[in-house]
Amino acid sequence: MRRIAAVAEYIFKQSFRNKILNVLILFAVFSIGFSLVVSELAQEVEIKMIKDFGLFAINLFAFLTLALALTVQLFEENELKTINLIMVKPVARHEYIAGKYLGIVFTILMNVILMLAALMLILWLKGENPWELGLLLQAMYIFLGTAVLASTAMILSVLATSVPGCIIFLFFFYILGHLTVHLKNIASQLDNALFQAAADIIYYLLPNLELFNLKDKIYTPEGLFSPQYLLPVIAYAVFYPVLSLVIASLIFRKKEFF
Amino acid sequence: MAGLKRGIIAASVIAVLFGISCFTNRAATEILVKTQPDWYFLNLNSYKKFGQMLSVSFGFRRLFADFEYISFLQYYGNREHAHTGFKDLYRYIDDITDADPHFTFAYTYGGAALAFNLERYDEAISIIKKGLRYNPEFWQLRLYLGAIIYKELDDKDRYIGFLEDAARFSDRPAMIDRILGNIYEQYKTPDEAAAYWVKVYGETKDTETREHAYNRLLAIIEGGGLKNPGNIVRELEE
Repeated sequence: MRRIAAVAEYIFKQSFRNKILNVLILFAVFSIGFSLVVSELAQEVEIKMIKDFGLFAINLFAFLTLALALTVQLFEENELKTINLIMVKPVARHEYIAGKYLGIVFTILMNVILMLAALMLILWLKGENPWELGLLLQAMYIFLGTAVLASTAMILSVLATSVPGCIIFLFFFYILGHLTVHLKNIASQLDNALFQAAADIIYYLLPNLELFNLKDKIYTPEGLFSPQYLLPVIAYAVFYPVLSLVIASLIFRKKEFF
Repeated sequence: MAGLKRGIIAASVIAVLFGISCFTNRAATEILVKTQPDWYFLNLNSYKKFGQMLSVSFGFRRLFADFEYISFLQYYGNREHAHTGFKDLYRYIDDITDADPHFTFAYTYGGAALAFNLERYDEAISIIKKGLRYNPEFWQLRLYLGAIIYKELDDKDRYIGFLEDAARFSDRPAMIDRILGNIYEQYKTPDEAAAYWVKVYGETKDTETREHAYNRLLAIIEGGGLKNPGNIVRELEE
């Protein structure tokens, strides 16, 4: 456990050193700029738009943080060969994968918290109550969704031979992750066994990110904030990443570096 | 032998974890499907609205509706479209509320614009009914429906009553204040109309409505029908 924490700390510090948190500055400029433009464009629904845009931006920048952290790690491992230095230390390969995952997830968590704080500040300056439970829960779900996607990214990172290839696949997983529920719904309306099987494979294998997309369902939250929904979603957010990390560790164990 | 044993253990762990993640995924999806209305899901006709498909794919459907709303405001605010009678207005509101059927402000604003500014009552009623179908609990829409129906029947006492009720809600479109003021100017005394515009001028947060209220007050004062214009000027200065 101590070794996993040490790797996580190293990855987290690396994210700082590589200025991944600069994404936050982009977010702040983006959000404040947008809120000013929105004030001019749509005075009467300004607050709704600031919330919608703020949550979208948190989601987008959380994904970008993941993509950037992954790019930096892959570049350093493959091009600068930093992985060789770690492999000679008494760190098991599965510990390295778990630590790397936790490091990236902490970086994302920190970004999400700071971006949420910036959004809450903007809302407060506009005279709104920033401590709205729905807003906080949506931010939490965005973090959980990105953490689930990060676990899939771990598999991609051990399989990938190039950084761009890994990021392109991650991007496709992000889109398909949002479409899984919809694909399954369409498949149920069609009498096509092949399409249904393909939809099922995507549904069960890829991360179901739509479960975490509460920002598009905020006005119909009746069942979604209930423990009956929260429990399976949180369980999914725990077990799916554990499964992905086990698979990533098994693949990583077979990799040769020297 | 040890390798085989390790392989079996690994496969078992993966199978158990996969089973649990499938189960939790299914359980959560079932609740999601139950709680979300039909419109939430992409269907076989969704390809007709590419923007919606794109926004669903990236998880920003509500933001897409906001962008559609800004397009609608730009369309309605452009005087060049006035000569066509803003013929695409209904389509704009329909698109916004297809992307986000819970965007209640779009129904009230769009319905009021279609009925009271453009006198397209059937389209206005259709929009308000769509709003009621998806938001039955947002009962302010019933006030708008009543106002539009009585406006079409030209029963001014009743439609003014419905509009006055609608204007009591803080989330009303500022346009309602302007419509009501213009109606007061037609059917009430200059003093009553001026008192209303002074109230709007002092309370509204909408700059366009504030400016409109000021201009209407000037017009009423210049019209010379007020019993005591000095009072109005004093109230404005306060």
